[in-house]
This record gives sequence, structure tokens and C-alpha cells, in this order.
Amino acid sequence: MSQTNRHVKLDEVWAKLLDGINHVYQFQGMKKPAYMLLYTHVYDYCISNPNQSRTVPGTSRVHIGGLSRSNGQDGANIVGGELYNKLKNYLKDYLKDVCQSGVDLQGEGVLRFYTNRWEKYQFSSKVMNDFCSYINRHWVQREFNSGRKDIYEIYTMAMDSWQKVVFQPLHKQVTHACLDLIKSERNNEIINTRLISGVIQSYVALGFTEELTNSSHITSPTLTIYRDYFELYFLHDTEQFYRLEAATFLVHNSVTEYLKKVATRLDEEVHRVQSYLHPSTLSILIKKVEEVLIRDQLDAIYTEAKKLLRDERYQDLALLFKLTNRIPNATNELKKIVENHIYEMGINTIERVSGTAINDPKVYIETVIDIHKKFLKLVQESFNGEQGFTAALDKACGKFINNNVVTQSAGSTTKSPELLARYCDALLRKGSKAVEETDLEEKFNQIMIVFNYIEDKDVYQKFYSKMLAKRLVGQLSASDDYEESMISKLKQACGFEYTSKLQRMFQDIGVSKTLLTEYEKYCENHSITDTADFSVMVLSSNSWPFSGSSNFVIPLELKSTFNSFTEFYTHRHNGRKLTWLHQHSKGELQTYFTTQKYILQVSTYQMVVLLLFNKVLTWTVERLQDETQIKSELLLQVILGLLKSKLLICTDINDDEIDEDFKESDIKTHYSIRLSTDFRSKKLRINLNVPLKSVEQKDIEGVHRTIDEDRKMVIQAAIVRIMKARQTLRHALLMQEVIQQLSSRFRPKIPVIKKCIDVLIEKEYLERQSNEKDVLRYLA
Amino acid sequence: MTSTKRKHTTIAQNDLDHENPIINGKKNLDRLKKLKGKSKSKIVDVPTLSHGPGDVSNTFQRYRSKTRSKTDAKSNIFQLPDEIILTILPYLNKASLVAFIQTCRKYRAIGYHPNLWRRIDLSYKRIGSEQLNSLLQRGTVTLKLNQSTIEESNFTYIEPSALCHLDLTAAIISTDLLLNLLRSCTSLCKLSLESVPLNYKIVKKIVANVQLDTLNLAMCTGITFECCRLITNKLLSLRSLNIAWTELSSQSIQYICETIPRCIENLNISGHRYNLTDDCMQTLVHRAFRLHFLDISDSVVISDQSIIALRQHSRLLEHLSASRCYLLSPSALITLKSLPAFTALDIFGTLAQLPLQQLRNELGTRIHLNMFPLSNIARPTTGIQRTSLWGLRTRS
Amino acid sequence: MAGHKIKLQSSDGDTFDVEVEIAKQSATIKTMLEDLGMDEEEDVIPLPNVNSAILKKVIQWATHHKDDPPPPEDDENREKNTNDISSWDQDFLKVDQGTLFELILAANYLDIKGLLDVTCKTVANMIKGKTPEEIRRTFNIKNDFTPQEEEQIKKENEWCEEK
Repeated sequence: MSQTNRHVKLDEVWAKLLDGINHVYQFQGMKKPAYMLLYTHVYDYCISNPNQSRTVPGTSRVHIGGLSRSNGQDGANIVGGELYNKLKNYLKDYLKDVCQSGVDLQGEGVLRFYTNRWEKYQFSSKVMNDFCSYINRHWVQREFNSGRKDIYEIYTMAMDSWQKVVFQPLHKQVTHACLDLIKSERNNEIINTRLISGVIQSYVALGFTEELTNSSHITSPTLTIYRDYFELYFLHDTEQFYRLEAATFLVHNSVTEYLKKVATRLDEEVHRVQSYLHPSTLSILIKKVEEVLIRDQLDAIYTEAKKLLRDERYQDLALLFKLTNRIPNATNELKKIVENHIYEMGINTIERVSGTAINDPKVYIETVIDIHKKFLKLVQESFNGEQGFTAALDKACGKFINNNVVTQSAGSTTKSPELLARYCDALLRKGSKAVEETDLEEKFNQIMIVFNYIEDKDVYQKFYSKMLAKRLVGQLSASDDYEESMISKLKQACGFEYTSKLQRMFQDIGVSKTLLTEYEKYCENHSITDTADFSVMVLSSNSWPFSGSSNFVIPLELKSTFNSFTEFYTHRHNGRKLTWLHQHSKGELQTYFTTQKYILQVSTYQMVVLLLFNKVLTWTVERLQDETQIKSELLLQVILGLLKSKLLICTDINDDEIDEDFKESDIKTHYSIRLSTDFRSKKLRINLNVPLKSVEQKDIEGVHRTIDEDRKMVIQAAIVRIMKARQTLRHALLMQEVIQQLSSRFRPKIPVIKKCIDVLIEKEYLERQSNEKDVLRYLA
Repeated sequence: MTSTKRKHTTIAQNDLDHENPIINGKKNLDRLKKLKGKSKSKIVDVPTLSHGPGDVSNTFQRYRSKTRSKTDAKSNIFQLPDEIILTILPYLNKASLVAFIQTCRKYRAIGYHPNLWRRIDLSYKRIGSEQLNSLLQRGTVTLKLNQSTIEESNFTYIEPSALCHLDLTAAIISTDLLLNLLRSCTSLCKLSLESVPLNYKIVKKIVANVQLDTLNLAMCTGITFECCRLITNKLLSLRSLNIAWTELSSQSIQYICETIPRCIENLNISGHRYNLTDDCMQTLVHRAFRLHFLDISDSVVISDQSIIALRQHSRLLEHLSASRCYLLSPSALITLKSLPAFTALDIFGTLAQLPLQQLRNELGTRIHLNMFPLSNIARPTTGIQRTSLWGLRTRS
Repeated sequence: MAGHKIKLQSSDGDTFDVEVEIAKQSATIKTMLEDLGMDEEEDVIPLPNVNSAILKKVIQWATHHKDDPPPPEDDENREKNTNDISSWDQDFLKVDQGTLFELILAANYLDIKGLLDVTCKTVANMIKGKTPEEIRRTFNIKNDFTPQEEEQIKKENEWCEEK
């Protein structure tokens, strides 16, 4: 039968325990039998049934439940409280002695003392907790359940006692000694970090809160002690240390040197937390260091950034950025600096080349591309390609590309798209040198980069289509593949609508080729033989930037060709109307009147004029006009060109008068023109088909003129589209939406939009709401 | 002692068994004997093993009966400390517990320990007010009085209680006693008064429990506009609310939709026929953006507009009951599929078999259609767990 | 460490060699081993509150249950079922009341949760379904109530009676 002594008294058990507890707290090893005996003493004491010695609740406690909740007692007798208090008092006395022996220590002495005693105490308390665990299991548990917050498990109670008896009086000197050591380490001395980590471990272990879960009593750790008694002071010290360091270091060193130091310091602090502080300190410590070393020095850093940009020290910039980026919002200013720098560099570089660039698309566009390339590299290398900086680059490029010395001197913002289109034209033209095939794709991509910055994309489109038309009609394209590749890139950037006309043009050329072979077959089948050697392109009138040309009397020699093709075509496509674009047509003539037979490459107009000389050798200008019905203005240009080529001679003008300065207006209607029968040339094949200057000039002017008209139409269409969807809309909101919708093509000007709205009101597409004047309503 | 020694040996010899590792080496004991000198240790020569537990106990029984009588004070239950008695008692049902309490004063004292009375199920039973008070004073936290009859005796005062969860669903209780009972509660978390007649005074007592998170008032009568004001203004922790079929005025409904606590997650506002409108729903979904479960069944003027509003604003919605809302179209309901958490839709009584099947097909397997004919919102006892209360066991 | 043994000594001096893993079902022993370590020198662990007969039974029980999963934490929501005692345990606990109580005390002393649970359940089963008088007889309890007190308790708890 059990040996349990049924009536163990507190004093008796205490007497038995005291020896063992002393033993434990003097750090003398303990054997298992001794431990087990201690456990048994505690157990015996707790279960010794107080049935007889303590009174059973009597008749007076009928409503026992009610009483039980109010005073934390119920009918059950669970023993342990008195022993718990004994243990508590023992620890208090014991710890007072401990504290006494450490109270006069300072510096490393106090740290060695504190950590040493702490570690041993922790272990001893664990052992005591365990051999007293029966008290934890029942008495402590129940006290806790009934709501007492000042009762802990014995181990926690021991921690609490240390906190109150040792920690409270000593923490100042202990914390202070830790901070001193850390300061030494920051000054590059080697320290014994174990002393600090021991203290930290103790501070962390001393923080706990009580929690009541439904079945057990748990104390969960908190970091309050660590925070309030160490971290707070540590952060304060850190701030002071680095504030001083920043001030002194910057007196003798550059900001870049300083930043290098900051980077090292940050690494050191991370390492510090990892090696002996609590991990929760990391973020708050780093934030503090960043504030002191970076945030408070931002002005100097910004100034340095400007300098580094100027000196193109991109690696140093990268470090500068990395550190600045640690401070919230601090890179905004940096972005502005970068944007301004790129903008200024762009403006200045273009100014330097403006002399040639204004008329040389290659110089202009390649300059722009180079600037962009250079700063893209900057953004990627120094700013990690961060979006904000890419945006700054885009903003700066957009600004200087659309508005710079070149565009200003051209008097319009549409100069850039024009030059870009001309640059493309040069690349895509047959015989464009310098461009290897592999380069070309790269060039296209660069073009697209510039293209994306262009505000007036519609202008580019106009020029591009004009030049594409010329390349196609004149068969001047270097390669269909290149053309297609460029168009598809534009399509990607701006959508199907943007390139639909370009694509139609491209298709027309293909269709024309088939048409021509069919026509040849047709001629064969109908035994039509009296046609000239003839080829034709049929262009859909909406897609091509050509306007109808002035007509003339078709010479006999060409008549049958014209007629048979017209018949062929109208037969095939009933209802379509063919308009001949003579100004874009050309032909070849062979001279029979010269000893040497020359082949003359001529425009249709030239051909018409020259063929007349088959009839008579001399014509007056007036008669030529009568015969050909070419508009006199155009005719004079044609005649002038032929006179200059010396194929025709004007008997009323001396040869030497026809020089550079000779103008159409100098040719009078009564002047006689005759064929130069002794015409001679070194070349057998002579190209007389130089584009007429006036036409070229008019083209460009035309583009600029039509752009404004076209834009009005586009704006109106956009307004109608938006209003149809919205039915009613405020004026300001409508403006906003129009601008937004069209921004991919051009930037509409506000007065123009207003004017368009007025036009639409007039046309009764819209009306102003009667009660609210700034609300517009769509009229179906 | 010699006789016991002989017995031991016998058992051991009977039961040389490989499966039992309890080996008791003689050698060690010899050494122990030497060390201890005058030790009283007896030496067990052979490993003591038993084939089955029965053998040993039988033997011991015989051994016991020889050494001690059964009435020996030492083999009495009183040798068990109170903490052990407290470990045994939770295994008893309440009837047995009460029987045990009646054995003697000591066990009455232990048996009134609050841990033993925390959760009580009195469904369908009768209890007097005095008894109820006595029970609450033992520390009952969770009390189920589902369809119970609470009889008023001459003693109706109820002392402050620790109740957290109280289910009075369809209980028969006088208004006075209900007021008394609710007055004793200040820390209720969950409360069901389903089908119990209410008045302003009672609601005022209810809302004194400011941490209330679940309130079931389904089919209650007597909820005035002023009552609604109290509920939405005071109960700011309310997460589940059931006010189905409570005959609220249209003004009350509108007010509730405007002012319902923003933390509300589960709401049953069904059975309000013409009073719950699309406008109410608009207001509601804008305010109650955390809705998980919503029951708007039997609202005959609710249209697809409300479904659109739900889809736009109630991103957390999991379960919608909209049975007998005849204006709702399948094409609108199908759009709820786009809500990421949506898993259940109930639309009993609106669609014929065929269109129902079509809708089921379109909703896919993630969303259950017409799975839950009855609302769970804020109701204490649902599904198969008839004895639990808001998921807490109550039967002992 | 598999197969490593420790020595447990009963109150009446018998020593039992027990595998550490089996002995560790006693939280008391487990904690002690964690605190003091397992040194080479083989200490004999005295258990002055358990006699040989009971210790033998405890070890037998622990051996049978050595591969059991650790018993679940107490949870109010878990049913306190007394019908789930395994047939082995039922056989094992077919003992007289005195032995049963001693086993409870030993389980409590050694902090073996599984054994404490099953023995307490067994006692609960002995109480269940009995009248107060039957319980008194079973456990030899002396009624110390006055008739009025008895009436009072009955009345207070009328609602508990099974109908």
C-alpha cells in the first residue's frame, strides 16, 4: 500500500524541501533519486487530504456556486497555495542576495555577473518548477481558471521574481554596459558579444503575459521588457551615434564616400541584430539608421545626384539610388532631377546639331535615338530600371522630342514626326546605304521608340503614307518585307485603324500586278497590238494621298493604249471610275532625230510636250498650251525643265540666260520653242523626270494644311462617339474624354475641341441642356 | 508477507511471456540490498509478467481480501484527492452528477464546481425560476432552453450570471421573467429568442450586452422601429443577425439597411414581402461589405438590380438565399458566379425543373444550388448536431 | 537510445528495469530525464508512492500502450465519453476498488494522462445510473446530510432527472 503520509504539514514538507531547493540554487548537481524524493514530498503534501483537518462546507453554504465565483473558492479543496507562497518567498530572499552581490558592479563586470547568474538561475528554476509540477497541474491551474492573474506556473513565477528583485534594481547598469559595448564595437573594437546576447536572452525571457484558454493556463511571451528596458535606449544611442558620425564624416569627405560608408554601416547593423539582438529589432533599427544617415541628409544627396549625373558616374549613382530608395518617397525628388537632366541634355544636344539636323532627318533622328539609348542605360544601370525612373525618362524624352530648337525654328511641333517619317523613307528606299539587313530591324525598333514619344502621330502617319505612296508608285522600296515589317510595328503601337490605309496601299500594288498580267492576256485574246509597252497601277482613291491631276489632251501615240485599258477595266469592274494620275506617271521615249539614239526617261507631261515635236519642229508656248491643254503654270515648269536639259531650245532666249536663276515666269507665251536637232549627251539613257520643285514643296505644305482639317474631323467623330455612348455629359468631362481618347494619335487643343462642339451643336448632333448650360445632350 | 511473495512467484512462473519487457533483475536488487544494508526490499526472482490483465487482478483481489476488508477506510473513495474527483465528475451526465452530489456534503461541495455546469441543455424541459437561478449561480456559461418551459415561482429574481450563449428559441417564458433573466446577463455573445414575443424593454436589456456577436430574432413579434434603432446603434460587434419574418415596417427595414453594423457577415432579412426593396438592398450592400451569407427569401419586389448590386459590392459573398423572390431572373443570378467565394445559391420555389437544371449546369460544380432549404444564419441549432449550441456541445 | 533502460524502484524496494520510451509515458519521469539528463551512471529512481504490485500494473499498462499516440488535450467541445474504453483496458481494470483507486493515485503521481483518463472513466461508470443511496453503498460513503438539506438539493436539481 501507498506510503503516503496522510497528514503532511506545511512546515514538515518545507523542511524536507529546503535542503533540495538550496542544493538546486547553489548549482550543485542533482541526482535522480533526490529529485524524485523532492517531487514526492510536494505531491504528498498536495494530496494530503484535508478532509478531517479542514472543515467541510456546512449548511450555511447552500448557494455554494454563487459564493464560489465571487471569492475564487468552490467546494473542492485543492492544496498548493501555501507552498507556492513559501517558494515565492524563498526566491525573493535568494534573489535579494544575488542582487546585493551585483549592485556595485559596472561595465563588463556587471554583464559577466548578470549573464552568469541568470543562466544558472534559469536552469535551477526549471528544475524546481518540474519537481513542484504537481502544484502547477492543479492548484495553479485552478487559481488561474478562477480568474487570478497574479498566480503563475512556478517557473514563470521565478522569472517574475527575478524581474522584480534582480532586474529592476540592476537593469540600468546592465543595459548601460551593453550599450557601451555596442558603442565600442561600432568604433571597430572587438567585443565579447556573448555577454550582450546573454542579457538580451534574459530580457526577452522576462516578458510574458497571462492568457486563459478554455482548458489550460498559458503565459505567452511578449517583448515588453526587452522593448522598454533595452531597445528604447539602444535606438536612442544609435541615433546619437550616427547623427554625430554623419556630421563629422561629411566635413572631410564627399557625399559619395559618405554613402559608401552608410552602406557598410547598414550591413553592420543587420549583422549586429543577427548575432546578438532580438530579430524583432531589425526593422525598427534599420529604419532609425536610415532616417539619421539618409533621410536627414537628403538635400546633400540630391545635390550629389546632380553632380554624378553631370559627371556620368553611373555606378556611384546606383549606390546613391539604392540608399535613397530605402526612404519612403525620397526617390520622387530624384526622379525629378533625372527627368530634368535628361531633358536638358536632350535640348542641348539637339541645339548643337540643329544646324544640319533641321534638314537632315538622319542626323536629327539618330541624335534623338542616341540620347534615349544613353539615358535608358542610365535608368537601367543606376536606377535598376525602376518604373518611376523609366517614367521620368519617358517624360523627358517626350518633352524634348516634341519641342526643341529644331521644331521651334521650323515653327511647328510637327517637325519631329516629319523628320522621323523622312528618316524612315530614307531607310526604306532602294539604295539606302549604310544599313545592313541585321541593323535594319534594330533601326526599326529605335524608330518605334522615337515614334512612341511623338505627340502628333497623325502627322507622322500623313507623311509616312505620302512617302510610302511614292516608294510604291516609283518602285523605290528596298524590300517589301521591310515595308511590311515597319507597318506591322506601327500597327502594334497604334492599332489597326492607324495603319489600315498603309496596308491598303501595299495591297493595291500587289493587286495591280495581277491586273496587269490579266490585261496582257486580254490584249492577246482581243488581238490588240497597237498599244505602247505599258504598265499600270490601280490605286483605290481613298487610301492614297494623291489628288486628281490636271488633265491634258492625250497624244495620238498613247490613245489606243489608254482606251483599251479603260475598256478592259470598266468591263471588269462595272461602275468603277478610273482617274489617271498623270503627275505620277512616266514613260520612256527614244530619239530618232539624233545620230546617236538616246532613251529619254520622262514624265507624262514631258512626253505629251515632246511628242508634239513629231508634228512640227517649232512651237510657240501659246500653241503648245492649245495643243496639250496642260495648265499653263504646269506647262511652263515642264518647258523649263526641258529647256534646261537642252533638248528644247527657246529661240527668244540666249542659251546662257538659262541658268539657276531662270524662272518659269521668264518664259513668255509668244516665245518659240524648237527641238534641238543637234542634241547630244554623254549618257545614252537620260533621266529628265526630275520631280517638279513646286510639287514637292506643295506636298509638305499640303500635309500641314490638311492636318488641321483632318484633326477637326477626327475630334468631331470622337465627340459623337462619346456622346452617343453617354447621351448626356458635362462639358468638362467630355473634353477630358476626347483628349484621353485621342492622345494616342495627337494632342487636341482645347479651343479646337470647343469649336468642334459648337459645330456639332450647329449641325444638331448635340444640344445644350436647357436647365444646365454646361451639360450636353446627344441628339439621335 | 510471505504468502504474497509465494503468490507473486506463482504468477510469474505462469506467465513467462516474450511480449512483456518488464524485467526485474535479481542482480541489481542484490546490489541495491548491499547498498542499502538493512533494506527491506524483497527479491523477486523471476521476471514478473502477466499474460492478460485479468490474471493479476484476480490474484490481487484475493490477496486484498485476505489482507484488508473491503470496508477498510484506506480503500475508500475518500482517499482520492479533490482534484481527482474533479477529473472524474466531467464524465458523468447531469442526472448522475446530481445523484453523486446527493451522497454527502463533501461531494456536494465539489460537485458545484463551475467547470461542471458551464454548458447545460434544458431543451423541452420544465424548470422553475428558482432552479434556474440556482443553476446560473453555479457558473453556467452556455445554456440551451430550446422550447423549454420556464415556470415562475414566487421567487423570480435572478442574480447576475456569467451566461455567454443563451438559446431561448420558442421557450415558454413570461415577459417579466424574461426581463429578469436578461437583466442578469451582461456578457452575452450569442442569443436566440426565435419566436419569443418581444417589447422595447426586452430589447433594451438585450443591447446591454454590447459584445453580442450573434442575435437570432427570427419570427419574433413586437420589434418596433425604436427596437431596430437600439439594435443597430448599440450592437456594434454584431456579425450574425436573423430578423426573418419579424413583421418589421418598411421604415424599420430601410433603417436597418442604412445603419446595420459594418462588421455584419451573416444576415437573414427574409420574409419581409413588399418591405425589402431594391433601394434597401442598394443601401445594404454599400454598407455591409463583409457579407458572407445573406438570406432575402420571400421578398417579392426584389429585382435583378439587387443581384447586380450584390455582385458589384459584396465581394465576400458565399451564400445567397433568395427563395420565392419571383422577380429574379436566372440570367442575373448566373452572374453571381463571378464572385470569388460564392458557393451556394438557394432559389426554392421560383424555377421549374428544366430551367433549374439549366441554371445548375451553368453554375458549375463549385456552386451548390438549392442545397439548404432552411437558413442557418444566427440560429443556435442547425443540421444534424441537435444537441450543440452555436457549435458548442451541451449534452453531458 | 532505443532499448535503453532505466531502473524504477517501488516503495517496497523492488526494482524494475524499464525501457526509457515506456517510462516516458510518465510526464513526471520524462521531465526529470529532460532536466537531469541520462548519465551513464545508472541511478535507481525511487518511487516512494507506488508499491510493487501497483507499479507492476502501471508498467504493464504503459508497455501495452507504448505506441499509442499522445492523448488529446482536454477540450470542452470533445464529448466526455465513458464508453470508449478498449477491451484490453476493461480487462486490465477488472480489479477491486482499492486497486483501482491506487492505480488512479499512481497515474496521478506519475502524471500518466492516458491511464488517469481510463481509470477515472471506470470510476465514472461505477457512478452512472445509480441512485444516491446506491452510490453511497458502492463507495462506502456515509450520508452526513440533514433531511432538509437532502430535500433542498433534490429540489434545486429536479430538472436534471431523466424522464
